[in-house]
Amino acid sequence: MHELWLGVAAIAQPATALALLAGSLLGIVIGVLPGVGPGVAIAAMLPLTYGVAPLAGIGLLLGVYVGAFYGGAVTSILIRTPGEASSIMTMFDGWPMAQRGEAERALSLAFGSAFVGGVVSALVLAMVAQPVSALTSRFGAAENTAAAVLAAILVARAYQRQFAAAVMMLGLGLLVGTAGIDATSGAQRFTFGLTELQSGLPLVPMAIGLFGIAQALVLLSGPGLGAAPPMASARRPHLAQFLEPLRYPRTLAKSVGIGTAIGVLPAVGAALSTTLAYFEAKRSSREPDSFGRGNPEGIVAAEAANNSNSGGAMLTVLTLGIPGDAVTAIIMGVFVVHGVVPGPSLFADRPELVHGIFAALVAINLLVVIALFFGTPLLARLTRVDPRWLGLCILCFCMAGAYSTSNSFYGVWVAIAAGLLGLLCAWASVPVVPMVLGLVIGDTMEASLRQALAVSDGSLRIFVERPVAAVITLCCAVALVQPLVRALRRL
Amino acid sequence: MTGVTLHDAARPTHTNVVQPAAPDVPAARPRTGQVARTVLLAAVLAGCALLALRLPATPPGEPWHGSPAMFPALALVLAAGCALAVVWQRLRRPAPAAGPTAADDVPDDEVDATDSDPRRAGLGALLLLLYPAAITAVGFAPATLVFVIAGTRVCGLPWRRGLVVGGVLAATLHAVFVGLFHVGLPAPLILAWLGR
Repeated sequence: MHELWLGVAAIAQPATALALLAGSLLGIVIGVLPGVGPGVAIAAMLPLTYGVAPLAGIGLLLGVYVGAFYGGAVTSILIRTPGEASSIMTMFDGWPMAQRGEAERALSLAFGSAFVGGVVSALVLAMVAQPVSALTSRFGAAENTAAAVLAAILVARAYQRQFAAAVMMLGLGLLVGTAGIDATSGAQRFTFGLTELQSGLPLVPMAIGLFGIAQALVLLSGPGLGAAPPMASARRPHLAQFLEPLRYPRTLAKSVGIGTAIGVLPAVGAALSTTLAYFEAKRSSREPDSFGRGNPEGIVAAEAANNSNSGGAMLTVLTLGIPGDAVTAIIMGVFVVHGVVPGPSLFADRPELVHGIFAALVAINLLVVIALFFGTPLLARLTRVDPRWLGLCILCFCMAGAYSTSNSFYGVWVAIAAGLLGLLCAWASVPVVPMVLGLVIGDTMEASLRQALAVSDGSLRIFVERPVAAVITLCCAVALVQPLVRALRRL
Repeated sequence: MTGVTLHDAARPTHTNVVQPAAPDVPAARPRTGQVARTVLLAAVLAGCALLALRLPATPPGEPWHGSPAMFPALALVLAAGCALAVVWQRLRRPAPAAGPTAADDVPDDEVDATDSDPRRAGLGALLLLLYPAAITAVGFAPATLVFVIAGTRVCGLPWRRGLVVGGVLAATLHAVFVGLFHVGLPAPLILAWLGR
């Protein structure tokens, strides 16, 4: 109970409360806007977190992250156009319901289910994070190294046939992340005599470039808006219908479980969890044929799973200091910027921050639902915004943000270079998320590896002699060998 | 729609209009993709070769695992080795002209450039490179206004609306970054030229 009040008190600070509100509203808009995902928005907004307290900064970005999940459902239901890939399954039953004049009911079902998913996953995170953190705090350097390697392999594996390209980009991220003065030996690495590079390549302009600028260039070079899709009319959602998801407790529970569990897995993403939850609901339904024709249970399954990802995704950041996807990697940048070390020590060092994050996740869900009750009819109109305008606006925002990272053009040039690299990668269908992950976890991975090898006097046996390290190393080996065997079979 | 299958979970395009389930989606702009892939792989390999030459030396008496070059060397081998593996894959199995594309294996967080026009994107990138120079010369707000208007010409948008959007955007960004976050934007050179 004391921890709960600690969290509530932390988010009750005016600056933090304002950041949560701003992030939530912006997240809803981002979820609705065409072509702009939460990753892009969060990367572009990262510089804004410099001037505020860590919890306010993290709350702002979490608001965008969670709000976007809700926003995506509005367009899925009203105009059969998912704002996010994870909202596709909502469309299959939401649009038919809207077509037969039940748009308000579909929206209420979606918001109610997403609310339950978001709040329950935040509570699960609050309950599970501390015990997991107590376990991971016993990790030595070998276990930390093995865990970071496992996360990296799982992220690369999420790219399936792009596995080699993903590992290449991960290696590139790790390599680029080593630029600067080595903290242990004081040696200069890849600085090319430039003073700016002595403290390494700055993470924030890199993230702004790889996500924000690359996406903005793609948007402004795209075809613009096509013909406007037909829109179902919708008034404000009903409060009574908001409780309707509770009539499907089994579906709700299973979907929240699937969403939270998949959220923990690196790089898997919300789209898979909504798909799995939807088909599980269909499989266990007495009327499976009604799915796709406006079955409320389909919306409940998809939206509950979709929004419950957020809690799971934060678990590895808070307990291990390892992000699992682009959004949590960028959010981890806020910790880095403020000199806070995410991981098991966070619970002892900054309890108000950790419990503030749990409370923020619950508060954001509440704020988003309230905002959606009043603003839904207006939101669908945002889909009429031409993506090319968005591209131009995002570029200007990214430029100002990149400049603000160091009050000089150094950040701007780094962001532009990263943006051009991101665009090249997008054209080549080569992933950039592993590179950002490599940049974020590189320092920790190197420090742990060197420490582990120093303890074992250079012997790699340390990774198989300690029981926990051995289990994680075995998981690494299985995760690595399986796709290689599959690839060799295809040759 | 009669029921839903896993295949219906198609990826949305960047305009977010979900395409119907399509088992054989032609790869859009395959030539751009091939050129970009070749340039990227060549750049990665060349970069790795350059950085390999610049690896820091191991201090005398330091064991291999304490060397500042150990971790960068591992990362370098990983990046270069996988770049070569991708090249080898491409040589053995060139990208198909039809069928599921490599982009289909990419999770949601990645940028989807399927509908991007390379010429427009190139012009946009050129404008972006000129933007910092314009900020130095005339200041942030006027440079932003000029950038947006020039951007509308590149994307085929109405420039008059660009004037309004650019003006509002410049004022908003100035208010947020300078007014709220006290970012010190550079003094425009034009003021010095005008003798102020």
